[in-house]
Amino acid sequence: MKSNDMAGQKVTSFLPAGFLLVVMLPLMILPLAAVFIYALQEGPKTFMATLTTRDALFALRFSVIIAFATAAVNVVLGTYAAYVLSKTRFPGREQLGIILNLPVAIPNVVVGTSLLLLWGPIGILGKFLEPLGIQPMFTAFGVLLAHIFVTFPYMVGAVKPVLDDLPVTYEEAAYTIGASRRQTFYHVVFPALRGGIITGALLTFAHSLGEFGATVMVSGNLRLQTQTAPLYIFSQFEGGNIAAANSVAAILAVISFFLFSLILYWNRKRESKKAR
Amino acid sequence: MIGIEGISKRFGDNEVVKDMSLTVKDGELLVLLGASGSGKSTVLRMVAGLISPDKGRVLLDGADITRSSPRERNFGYVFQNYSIFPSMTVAENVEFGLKIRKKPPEERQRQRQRLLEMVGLEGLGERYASQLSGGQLQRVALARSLAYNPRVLLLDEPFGALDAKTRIHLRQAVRNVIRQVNVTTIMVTHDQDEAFEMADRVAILNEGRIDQLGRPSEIYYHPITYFTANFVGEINFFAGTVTRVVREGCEIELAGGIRVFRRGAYPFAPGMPVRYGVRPEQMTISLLEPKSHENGISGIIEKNLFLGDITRYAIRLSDARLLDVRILNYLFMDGMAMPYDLNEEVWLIWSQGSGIILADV
Repeated sequence: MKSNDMAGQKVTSFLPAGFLLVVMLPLMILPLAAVFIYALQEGPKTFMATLTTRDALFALRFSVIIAFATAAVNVVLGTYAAYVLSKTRFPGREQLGIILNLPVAIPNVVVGTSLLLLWGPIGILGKFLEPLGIQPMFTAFGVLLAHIFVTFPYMVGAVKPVLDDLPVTYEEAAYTIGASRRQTFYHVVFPALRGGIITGALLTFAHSLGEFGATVMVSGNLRLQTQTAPLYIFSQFEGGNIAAANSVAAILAVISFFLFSLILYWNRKRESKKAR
Repeated sequence: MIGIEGISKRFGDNEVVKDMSLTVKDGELLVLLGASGSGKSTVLRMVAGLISPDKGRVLLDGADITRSSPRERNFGYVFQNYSIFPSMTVAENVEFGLKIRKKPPEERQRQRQRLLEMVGLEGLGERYASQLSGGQLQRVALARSLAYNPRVLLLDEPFGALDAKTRIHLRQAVRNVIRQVNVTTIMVTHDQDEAFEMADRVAILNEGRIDQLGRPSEIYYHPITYFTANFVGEINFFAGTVTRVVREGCEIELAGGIRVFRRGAYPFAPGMPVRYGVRPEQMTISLLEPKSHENGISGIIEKNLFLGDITRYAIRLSDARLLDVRILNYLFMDGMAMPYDLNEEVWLIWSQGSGIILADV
């Protein structure tokens, strides 16, 4: 809103940008470039050939489906969690908020092992399911469970601040006008959250797409069954199949670039709407 | 008619509203005037059903609505921060109450047009909240809360977030609209000018209780408590003792030994301790002694402050206390210096028909 004052003015200067580039070149940009260089090293034909193997196609498709499912579950569950944490008061609310954010700091491998220890065939709960023929681990469902776990904080993190900033009087205004709780959520709260939900969904999708640590534990890395794209890349690389690994990696990089561009676009749109 | 019967509300250890009772007549505009923490907004929120009282009842035309939800009450509520839904246009905001009530589109549109015209926003229906000024947003809020013909209109510091010029302009506009639709209204404010300008009756709130309830002139000229006398306008108070009570009025000896007379019937007896107050604009400054039908006290001009329409003087009395006096500047002649100099000895004179006497409790 206060974009007219001096502090809001940005200077055009190439020196800081140049310095940033020098630092980031070996850190990020060259490694990313290497992915594409190696992927295309043996020509576009090989690139396409490695990409269209049954395993590669399955891994990419499986990853995208899991990412969609993860985002979908998070949109509902994460928004609900953000609403409860932001709008209700109950003992232990802050502690719950911290716990929900823990997956950001815990190594994903640990998340994977704990899921295994809980739901695996000899796990605390899994051993009761095993005789019933239910086995969540080493299945697509297990992978989804792990992905929801590790991406949940990103969804809550995108939606809760928007809710925190939404004055309670908006809801009260709707109530006094005669709206029910459901109508108030649908007409007043949800539209205000839309930007946050979209950002959160895209972030969740992107994180799920690149998830490795937890997936490798809970999936069993079974090709054509539970092998996600990152797992495929790792397996191919270990087998010395550099070109195959890098062609899938290149596709992942392109999808991610596209996704984060979308997130940026959405946030800009939200900001400009606020400032209008 | 709204009745509030002995309501109380406590937040933690803090009892914000204490056994308050009040009646608002049909078509009346009642203002709850109080400082922050006086409980005025809490009362309004209880009337709206946004919070429920710990004790007491809220009545609408005699029916108990204490436990009714806001949506069952069919009241309008205008918030200090406007709370115009940002995802809807102005038109959609105004129509929201009718949409919820499943009114046909033609009726919604007709009512929306009528109200936007009434609040002076015709042609702005397609705008969003982010494209409007604070004053315009509050006009939208008023239109939105009147669109569904509420039984009662509640205004919670509606001008509190606006700049001074807009505030004055808008309160006249709001007052006119309320008159026009003739809706029973309760407004909450901490601003005395606002309260006096808008209200049929004003309730002065002090720490969760009603200190005094009456028409603005009653409140101003006949405050019944020391709190109200001080809260509304400014006043110079003296400690004093009743010395004589006659049919025409009573005489009081002030702490400095000066005797003043107040016309009117008072239930006092000689010897009673009282507080005697006189408002700064009720006094004039003179070089001549007061006449027999006037009250007067002499002092020395210690400060003068030119404020445009008025000049404020601080007068030091013989007992060392300072009195506040305001003189309208239209009495002064063009080009003339202020007629009274600093350190000049003058008389303060006021009518025996003005002055406020409160039993000293």
